[in-house]
Amino acid sequence: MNRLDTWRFRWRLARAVQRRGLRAAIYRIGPYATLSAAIALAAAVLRNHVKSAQDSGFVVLSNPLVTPLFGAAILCSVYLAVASTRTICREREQGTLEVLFYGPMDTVAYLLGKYLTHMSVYSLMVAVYLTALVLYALVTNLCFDPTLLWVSLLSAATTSAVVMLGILLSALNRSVRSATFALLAVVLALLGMQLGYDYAPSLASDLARGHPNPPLSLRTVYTWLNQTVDWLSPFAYLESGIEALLRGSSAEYWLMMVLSWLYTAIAFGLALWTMRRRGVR
Amino acid sequence: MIQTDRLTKRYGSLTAVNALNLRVRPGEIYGLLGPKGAGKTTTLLMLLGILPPTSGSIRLFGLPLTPGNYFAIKRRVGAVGERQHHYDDMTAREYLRFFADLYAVEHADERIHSLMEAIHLSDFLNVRAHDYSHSMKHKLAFVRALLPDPELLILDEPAFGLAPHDIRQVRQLVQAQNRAGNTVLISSHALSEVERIAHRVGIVHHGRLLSEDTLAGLDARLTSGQHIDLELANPCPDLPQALARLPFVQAVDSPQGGGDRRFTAHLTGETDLRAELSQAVTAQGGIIVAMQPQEAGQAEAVITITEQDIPRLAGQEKEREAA
Repeated sequence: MNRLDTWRFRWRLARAVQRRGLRAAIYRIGPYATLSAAIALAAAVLRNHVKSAQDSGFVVLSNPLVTPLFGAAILCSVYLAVASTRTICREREQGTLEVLFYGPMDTVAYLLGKYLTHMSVYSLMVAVYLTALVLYALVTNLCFDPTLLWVSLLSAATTSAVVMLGILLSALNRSVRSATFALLAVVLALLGMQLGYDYAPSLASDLARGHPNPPLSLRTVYTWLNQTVDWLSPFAYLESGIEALLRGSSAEYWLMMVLSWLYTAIAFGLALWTMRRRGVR
Repeated sequence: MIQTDRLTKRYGSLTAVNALNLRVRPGEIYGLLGPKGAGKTTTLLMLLGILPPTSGSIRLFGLPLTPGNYFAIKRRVGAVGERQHHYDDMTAREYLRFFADLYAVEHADERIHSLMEAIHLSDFLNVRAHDYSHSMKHKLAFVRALLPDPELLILDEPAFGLAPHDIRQVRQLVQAQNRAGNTVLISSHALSEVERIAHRVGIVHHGRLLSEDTLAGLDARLTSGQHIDLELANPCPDLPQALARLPFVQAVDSPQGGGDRRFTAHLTGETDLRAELSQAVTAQGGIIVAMQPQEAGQAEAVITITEQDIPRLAGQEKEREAA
């Protein structure tokens, strides 16, 4: 087989894994529960907007549907982070991963198949909640502008990074339990950094009261936390990308898009390296 | 068909497979026999590309097992592991279609149906594989491995936990596969119905290939000498060490539950040495109440070499190599 045939065959394997994974996902309650929560959240936010307009008789919103879309994208990404974190170690625990590799399966095709599975689930989710948003827009007479499509596109890129991070955690761990704890640790670490980022300025000013100058080290930590969260959390990419879009800064929007895909590629490479080292048993 | 050169796998300080040189010819059924922990499964996993070797090389179908040849090789190989694992959300039909898809099997449905019919499971195609009994799962794994009509079939402990009737069905499938010109590599820790079909057998112990022969040749070599069961009236714990020092005694062992009263003496040559043995036992203070020569069959012979006589066999091989 030449290199092209190898990649053709690998793509065929990845698609087979994707079809099997998608079929399994369709029969699970998770995607439906997440979608329902996302649509309900969008409805609650919009109801709040409409109620504000009714109460005050006046409300200024440039893109009223962006916040519900952002919330829905985050919810779906979190669900897919959990699902992708369980994906490989569950198969490893059940022994089906080894059986799969008895056949003509390789690590690249397998990881690609798993990635495609979760991205297909996300595409279906996006299609459903965008449809719901269109319906909400029709009912409330709010504007459904193309910004929402750009936000959806960026959310696909950031979800891709989230999914690949989940797959990496799954490849790193031997059991579903340890992988879930690892995800929890990552989330708590990011949350901790975010809290540090939020509280550092007030802490710095408190400390500065007794001193002529604010402690330099605290300011350094503050800046470092800010930058780390921005680099490590795909959700921060989505937030920054949406803000850039609303500000009209297309360069920053595309930077976030590129960074998300770069994040995906790095996490894929690390997952590949980890799986090759860990094996399939 | 299979060629390994100084294939080695180490886990830290433990050497699971040690410089294994294996040659399996096209169209033969080769049995890899050895006790549990001998390194058979590790060898098979390396042949399947699942475990990377620490050193040494593997050639399958004349091609080195490298990333560049991975798919070209793996598409022609079917494998069944010792334990069966199936997706809990798929019926047998869906499971087999999934693997047919991976192997790019043409006319998959017809192939699935004919194979399932051959092992009398066609009525259970729409049952979830997870709900199958142990033997049904095992047979389903065989069907999965046979789907692409593999040129090389690798089986790890194929008779594990199977009833005699199921073993016969599996054996027929393997023989049919071999009659079609395909090669079969079977690994097992004991000789059973399925292993009887092997054309050649390799004995593995501590990751090394100690002996390689036809089953008949192996049987002839292993049943040479005499094996005499002794039963004493009084306990005689020092007897094995005392007898082992005699020039015509190769080894003495005590069967499980035999205490210090029952022993098996393995003697060299074909001469009747019962009188000398009796004299030696009496000299150690033992009172013989029964002395019975064993008639070893093939099954007993292989169990003997894998569990008890590995060092003796290794010695014979070294002598052969030196010659």
